[in-house]
Amino acid sequence: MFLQLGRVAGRRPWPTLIAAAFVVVASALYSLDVMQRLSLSPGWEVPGSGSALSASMLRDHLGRDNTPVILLFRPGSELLKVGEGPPVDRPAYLAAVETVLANVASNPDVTSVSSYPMTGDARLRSENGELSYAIVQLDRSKNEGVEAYLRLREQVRNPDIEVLLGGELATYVDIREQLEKDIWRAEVVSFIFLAFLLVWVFGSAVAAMLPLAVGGVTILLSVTLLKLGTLFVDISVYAANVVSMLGLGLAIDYGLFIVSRFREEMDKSGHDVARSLHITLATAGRTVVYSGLTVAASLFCLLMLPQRFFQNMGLAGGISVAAAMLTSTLVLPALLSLLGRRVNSLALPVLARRVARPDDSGGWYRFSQFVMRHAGVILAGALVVLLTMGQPVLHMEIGPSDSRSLPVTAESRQVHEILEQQFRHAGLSPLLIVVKTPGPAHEPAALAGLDDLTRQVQALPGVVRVQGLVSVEPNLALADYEMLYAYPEQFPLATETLTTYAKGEYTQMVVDYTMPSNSEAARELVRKIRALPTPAGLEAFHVGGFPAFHLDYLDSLANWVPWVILAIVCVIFILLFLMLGSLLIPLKAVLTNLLSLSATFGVLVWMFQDGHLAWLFDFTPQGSMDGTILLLIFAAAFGLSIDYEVFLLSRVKEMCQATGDNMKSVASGIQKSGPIITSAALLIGIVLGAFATGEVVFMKAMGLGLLLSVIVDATLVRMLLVPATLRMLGRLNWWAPKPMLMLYQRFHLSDLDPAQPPAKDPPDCK
Amino acid sequence: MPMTRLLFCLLACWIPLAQADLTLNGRSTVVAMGMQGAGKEKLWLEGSLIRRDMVDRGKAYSNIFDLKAREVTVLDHSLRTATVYSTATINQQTEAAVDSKAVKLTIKPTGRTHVLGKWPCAEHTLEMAMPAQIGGEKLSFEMDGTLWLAREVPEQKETAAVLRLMQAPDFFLGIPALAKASPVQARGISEAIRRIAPMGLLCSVEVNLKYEGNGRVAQLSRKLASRIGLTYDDYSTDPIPKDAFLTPPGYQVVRQ
Repeated sequence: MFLQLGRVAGRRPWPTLIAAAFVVVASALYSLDVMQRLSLSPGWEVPGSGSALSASMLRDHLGRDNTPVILLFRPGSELLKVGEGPPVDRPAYLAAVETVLANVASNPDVTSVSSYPMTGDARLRSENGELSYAIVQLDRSKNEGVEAYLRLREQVRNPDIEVLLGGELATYVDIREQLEKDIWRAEVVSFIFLAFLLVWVFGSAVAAMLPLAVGGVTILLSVTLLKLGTLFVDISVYAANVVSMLGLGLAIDYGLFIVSRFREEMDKSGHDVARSLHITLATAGRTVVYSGLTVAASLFCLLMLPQRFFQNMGLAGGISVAAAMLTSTLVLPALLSLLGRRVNSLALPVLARRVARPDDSGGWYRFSQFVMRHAGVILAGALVVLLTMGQPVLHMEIGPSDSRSLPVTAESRQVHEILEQQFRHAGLSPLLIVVKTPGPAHEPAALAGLDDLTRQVQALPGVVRVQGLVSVEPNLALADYEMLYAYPEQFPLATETLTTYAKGEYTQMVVDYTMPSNSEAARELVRKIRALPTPAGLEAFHVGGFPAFHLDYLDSLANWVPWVILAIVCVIFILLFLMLGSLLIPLKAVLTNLLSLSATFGVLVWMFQDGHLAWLFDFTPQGSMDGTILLLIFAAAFGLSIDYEVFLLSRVKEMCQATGDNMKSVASGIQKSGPIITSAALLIGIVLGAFATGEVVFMKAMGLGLLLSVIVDATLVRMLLVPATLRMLGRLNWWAPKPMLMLYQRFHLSDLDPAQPPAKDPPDCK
Repeated sequence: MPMTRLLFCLLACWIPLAQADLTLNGRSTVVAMGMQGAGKEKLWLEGSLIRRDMVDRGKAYSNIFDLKAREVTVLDHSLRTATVYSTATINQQTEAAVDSKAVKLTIKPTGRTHVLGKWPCAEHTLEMAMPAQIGGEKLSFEMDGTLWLAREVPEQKETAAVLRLMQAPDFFLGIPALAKASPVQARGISEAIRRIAPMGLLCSVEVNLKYEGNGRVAQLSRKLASRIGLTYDDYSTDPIPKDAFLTPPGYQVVRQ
């Protein structure tokens, strides 16, 4: 269908370009406010999990939709000079802190504040008495509290005392802001580099501009489709990053393939524009569509995961691929048709077009022949290298991203580190147990159940304290609490506690613990609490809070990722089979890609988890890998690797059909596609590499991971593994069992030019 | 707002009833059954108008008492609301709960003094008791502690008109939320203010609150004793902005 449309576009370029211009202008106007339509909530929660239930009960039944923000008060040298004793107890320090908090007191987004001057709570002051912090509970009912946070941040700036903001929301905002800077820089840098590189690849400014134009239109179209998507589902702001990164990379790749082939066919046909375009669309155009299908299919498998974040990523990926495919096969043919031989205009003398090598000579041809002559040794060698690179995967740890993902200068990271080093049991990420009771939570039967549960939780190792309806005052026994809540209006404690912890048939318990909130020990504590029997008098309880959220997230990945990987592998295998009609080549492609990705992950673990080369790439070793990033790398890199495999193998198959000689077809296919694929890999490598220069560690890991996978694919896989395996498989390359062959002939995706004499498909290469 | 805070709010308002502009700045502390809080206090006074600014768990509130109009306006600065109550109505409700004559109040000077600005503040012991009943259990609501009063200072002379207002038989100075939740305590505090006000201006106060008796409520109360304190650090007689006693513009006004 795309190819037919492309042909129409080529025959009627002006109407096509006018329609495209109209779409571009309309898209630009329509998508102006796209960022406001995207949700700031990333959508990482696992629907139906204990942490999600806990959060929804807190929000819907207990009316708690707050997030804590830490205000760390650090006195300047002037303030330290005034008074005696620990700085946090000096009047000047207290006055400065209270001045800041007085501004916050009228903030409608703030639901409560707890500070050292206000409560005298020793946990809120540093061990050396120089620092203290306040916990500001911020309403997050709108946009996850981000806008409220930004207002708060402005409100607390004070000339007399330094106020640093921290906590999960602050980290999230800092990461978003850093990402915005990084992505903007990456896009500008990559666009400039791409322009130069494309001019170098094509030797002509006009030809070089075409893939960039395709990239620009693709991004615009993707963003418009993304905004349309927001009419039906919540889409995270992270989706915009995927659209920008993947859309630009793929569009430029596709543009490169089509423009190169067009120029090649123009040379062959004596500048017959119509014929060149016709053949270009039948070959490179078809391959682009297949490649797009494989990449999109790979990314769409992310929709299987329950988290909205992954579904958004899958959707955004699919949108980028579709936009890149549409632009490359509709707009680009129209542009090429109009330009004709002017596609080579504005050639730079120093980059005069390099003479095209014949199919059976050239460096790539000779190198492939060499590899195929020593196929066994080279295959073994490549496998050893890949397996060695992948070896660190064996000790890979999956963990959450935290403020260490940010540069050391980031405020929220400084707060996190100061709290860890200078405060005892900061307890910033407590576990939240939400309890459903059969009747009002403050009635005697429910209180007895809560007392039982509190005792059981309190007895678990690592638990510092449990706060709730029956555990606010150590002097009180269960009978006292029953009396207290029988006459709540007479006892401030009862009024206060009921307001804080209960509403109707729901109540919450807050659990402080000793271990770091992102540790396996904290997650183990969640498991232990969840394993406790529900005491009599209570209906059910759900554990939330950061460690519980993270445990649910990891469990969800553990449950779903194998299925997602299997789905990606199966879908890619089926698509490759329907394109190539071979059983073993898709199998080989899938296996080599898995190997190549293992190698990529191995290097990532070696660097980001183990800390190697941290000095060179300027990051803090994370001690674990972010599962989200690995999955995104897997889906995107698998698709991209297959993308190149499709370009290469379709050329090999074309040559095989033409020559019937296996070794020659492999070498000629590589000779034909090698320079283009290498250029494409270099181009997309620049785009991805630019993202690796960012300062947020997980974005750096993602950019570097994708870049590595492209490099490994372009070198070890395509230059060594592919020719070696194709040589060793020999006639089996294009073999398939008869029933599968029948399936292929019935449903194949081959769409060769009907004007050409039919070739044997699958080919019979010896 | 917790009840101890409300009760404390009343204590804080009792003395500086004067005609001249007077502003007091200080700090308050509340220890209420396992919870504690502290914060800045500001009291504004002009004629029969009193305004108290306070911060409760990080949220800013103001209470504006208009003794002549017998109204109290509760400002919630974060929600930007102003809720206006009639103290005459509240007086009727609390009077029904306990007879003012049943409030026993003893104040004795100790002879010790401290200075607040130019005010010599004399220390007094304070003991107050009144009958109460919770869940059928007869109790005595008690308050004891120390207060410092500034006597015979120039600013005290300005309170004559206000003191006259306070001696009216239907006088009531109270917070609506406290009067609703605990009319006995509200009545007792109002009565204490009425009796102490002529004795001097408040420099500082620190009292314990509890229920006494032999039943379970009293036992529980002994485990949950509460202590509240307020100390003014400075005062000023500079003119107060006229709009200090008005509902700020943009606030939603609700009349109860």
